[in-house]
Amino acid sequence: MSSEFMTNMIYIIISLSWTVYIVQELFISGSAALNMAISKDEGERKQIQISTGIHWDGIEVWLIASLTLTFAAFPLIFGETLTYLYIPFFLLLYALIGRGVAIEVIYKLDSKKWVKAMVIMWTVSSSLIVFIVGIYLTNLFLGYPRDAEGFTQSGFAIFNVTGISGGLFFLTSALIAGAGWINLTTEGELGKRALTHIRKFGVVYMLPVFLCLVFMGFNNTDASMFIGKLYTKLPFLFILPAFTFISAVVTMYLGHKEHPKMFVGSLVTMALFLVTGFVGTYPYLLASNIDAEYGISIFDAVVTTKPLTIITISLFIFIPLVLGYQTWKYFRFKDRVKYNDQ
Amino acid sequence: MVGVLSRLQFALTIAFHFIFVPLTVGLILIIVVFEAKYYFKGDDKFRKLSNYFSDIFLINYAFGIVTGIAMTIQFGTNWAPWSVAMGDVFGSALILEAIIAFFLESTFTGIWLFRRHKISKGLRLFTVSMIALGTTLSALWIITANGFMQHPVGATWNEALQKMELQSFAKMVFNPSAWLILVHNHLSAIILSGFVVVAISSWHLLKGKEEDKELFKTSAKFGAWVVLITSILIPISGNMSLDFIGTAQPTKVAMIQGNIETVTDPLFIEEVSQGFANVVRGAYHVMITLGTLFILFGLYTVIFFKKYTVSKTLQKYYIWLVPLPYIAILAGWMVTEMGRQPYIIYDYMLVRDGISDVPVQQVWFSIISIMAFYAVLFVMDYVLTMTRIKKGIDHVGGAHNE
Repeated sequence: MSSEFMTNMIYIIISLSWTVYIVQELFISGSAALNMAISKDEGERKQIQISTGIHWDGIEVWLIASLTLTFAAFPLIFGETLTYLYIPFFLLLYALIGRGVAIEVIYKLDSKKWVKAMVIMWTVSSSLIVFIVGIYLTNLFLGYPRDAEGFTQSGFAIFNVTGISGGLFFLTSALIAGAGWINLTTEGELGKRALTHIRKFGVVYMLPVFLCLVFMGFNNTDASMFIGKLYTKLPFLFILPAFTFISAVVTMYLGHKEHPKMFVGSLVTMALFLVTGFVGTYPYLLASNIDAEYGISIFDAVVTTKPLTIITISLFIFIPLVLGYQTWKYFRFKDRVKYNDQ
Repeated sequence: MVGVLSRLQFALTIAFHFIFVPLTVGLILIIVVFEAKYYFKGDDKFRKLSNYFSDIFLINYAFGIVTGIAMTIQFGTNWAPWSVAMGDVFGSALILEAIIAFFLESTFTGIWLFRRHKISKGLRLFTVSMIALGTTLSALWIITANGFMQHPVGATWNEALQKMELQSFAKMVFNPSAWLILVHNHLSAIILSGFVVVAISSWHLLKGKEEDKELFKTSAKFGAWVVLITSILIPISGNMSLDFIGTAQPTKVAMIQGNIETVTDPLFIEEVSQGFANVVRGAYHVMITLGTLFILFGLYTVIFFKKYTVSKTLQKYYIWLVPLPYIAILAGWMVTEMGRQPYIIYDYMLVRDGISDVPVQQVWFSIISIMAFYAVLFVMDYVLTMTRIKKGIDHVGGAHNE
C-alpha cells in the first residue's frame, strides 16, 4: 500500500468514525435532552435512561476513536487543534464527564434530591455535548482563522454565527432523533408524546433553517464549505449538499406529521451533512478560512509509513469487528423497555 | 509558569484517574472467577457475590472512564509538542487501545450495567469475560506507550524534525520495559482488589445482615488467597524490573539508591535536585515496605482464617488497611514517573520541551476547574461506593435462563 493511499484511507475512516459517532450520539443525547420535558414520572424517565444507558458508553468510544485516530495518523493536526481550542475541548470534556457520571450513577442513588440533581446534570451535559461537537465540526469544515504566522484569533473565534448555527443544527437533529429513539425503544405512550412534543415546540421546523445558515457560511471571512479541492474538481459532488437539504426538508415534513420515520430522517440528514463536510474540507483536517495554503493538510501532518501501515491494517481488521458486535448488541437488546423496568 | 501548571495538572489528573483504575482492573478478574464458578457449578451464591461486587466495579468503572478521557484531551491541549514527537509510536498504541480495548469493555459494560439480570448464565460469563479482556488489553496498550517513554526501543530519534520515527513495531510491542511494568502493575491491581474484597467482607461480618454473613465468609477467604498469592508474586516481578532498569535507566536507580552525585548527564544535574531524588527514594521504600507487609497479611489471614471469621478486631483492622495498597500503587508510579525525570522520552526528549505553548490563563482555568470538578467526583464516588457496600447482597431476582 502506498503512503498516499493509506493517508486517504485514514481520512475516510476518520470521517466514517465521526459519522458513526455523531449519528448515534444524536439519539442518545437527544433522548437525554428530552427526558425531563416528556416523562411524567420516575418510571417513564427510567425507561428513557435504560434504553440509552445500554448503548451510550460504547458509542462514546467512537468519539475517542475519532480523536485518537487524528492523533495517531496526524499528530501535528491533533496537537495544533487541541492547543488552539483549549477551552472548548475542556468544556466538552466536562460535559462528557458529567453525562457519563450521571447515567451510571442515577440508578444507584436512593435520595430523591440527588436523583433530581443528576437528572438535571444528565440533561444539560448531554445537550452540551452535541452542541459543542456541532460547533467544533462546523468550524472544522469551514476552517479556522489562520495565516502564515499561525492562528490570527483566539480559539473563541469558533463561537461565530456559523459555528453557533452548526451547534444548534446538531442540537435540533438530536432532539428529533431522540424523540424517534424514545418512540422506538419504550413501551407505553411515552414515545408518542415525544414525537408530538418536538413538533409542538417547533423544533422540527428549525432543522432546515440552521442547516441553511451553516451552508451559507455567514462569517467574518468568505469561508465556505464548498471551496475544497473536490468540489472544485468534481462539481457533481454538489448533489451531496443538495441531498442533505432535501433530507432536512423531508425530515421536517415527517416531523410535522409526527411520523416515527423522522428518526431515520434526522440521522440520514446528519450523515449526509457530515459527508458533505468531510468531502469539502479534504485534504485539510485543519483548514484555514483565510487562504487554503495556510491550513495543515493530512499529507503535511501524516506520520511515517511504518506506523501508517500498522494503523491502516489494524483499522481494516478491527473496525468491522467493532461494527459487528455493536450491531449484534442493538439486535440482541432491541426489545422495548417496559414501564418500571427494574 | 505554564510548564509548572501543565505538569501539576497532568500529575493530578493521572493520579486521580488511577484511584479508580486498579480496583476495576483487578476486581473484574475476581468477578470473572465468580461468574465462572456460577456457570460451571451452578452455585447461586457466586451469582449473588458477582452481582454484589459488580455494582462496586461499575461505580468505579464509570469514574475511571470519564477521568480517563481527560488525559486523551490533555495530550493535545497541554502536551502538543510531545504528541507530535511521539505521534509515530504513541499514536499506534493509543489507536489500538481505542479500537481493540475501549470498544470491547464499554460495549459490554453497558450490557452488564443495565441487563445482567435479564440474560442467561452463558451470556453473563461471556459479557464479564469481554470486559475483563478489554480492561487487560487497555492496560497492555497504554503501558506499551509508557514503557516506550521509559525505554525507547523500536524507533529512532529524528533530530532535525525533533520526533520519534518508528522502525520496528514488534520491538516496540515486545519492549521488556513495558511487559515488566504491565505484569507488576496488574499484580498490584489484583492485590488491591483482594484487599478491597476482604475489607468489604469484614465490614459485613462486623455490621452486616445475618443472612449475608456466610456469603461474605466465602468472599473474604477468596480475597485473602488473592492477596497472598499475588503478594508473593509481586516482589519477583519487582526485582526483575529493578534489574532491568539497572541497565536501562541508570539515573532512576541512582535516585532510588540515593547516590545521584554519581550521575554525569548534565541535563539531569541541571534539572533534578537532591530533594526531588529523595522523594523518589522515599516512595520506593514505602512501596517495598508495604509490599512486604502484604505478604504477612495474606499469610496470616489464610492460615488463621477461622480466627479471622470470629475476631472483630481483625475484621476492623482490615477495614482500616484499605488505603495501604492504594498508597503502595501511587508510590510505585511515583518511582516510575518521577524517576524518569528530567526526560519525557528517556534520553531523548525533556519534559520541558513537551509542553504546549498556551496562554497561562487558560491553563489556570483548566487546572482550577478540573480540580474542583474532581473533588466533587471523588466525594460522589466515595459516597456511592460506601452506600452500595453497606446495602449488602441482593437476594431477590434469580438468573434469567433461556
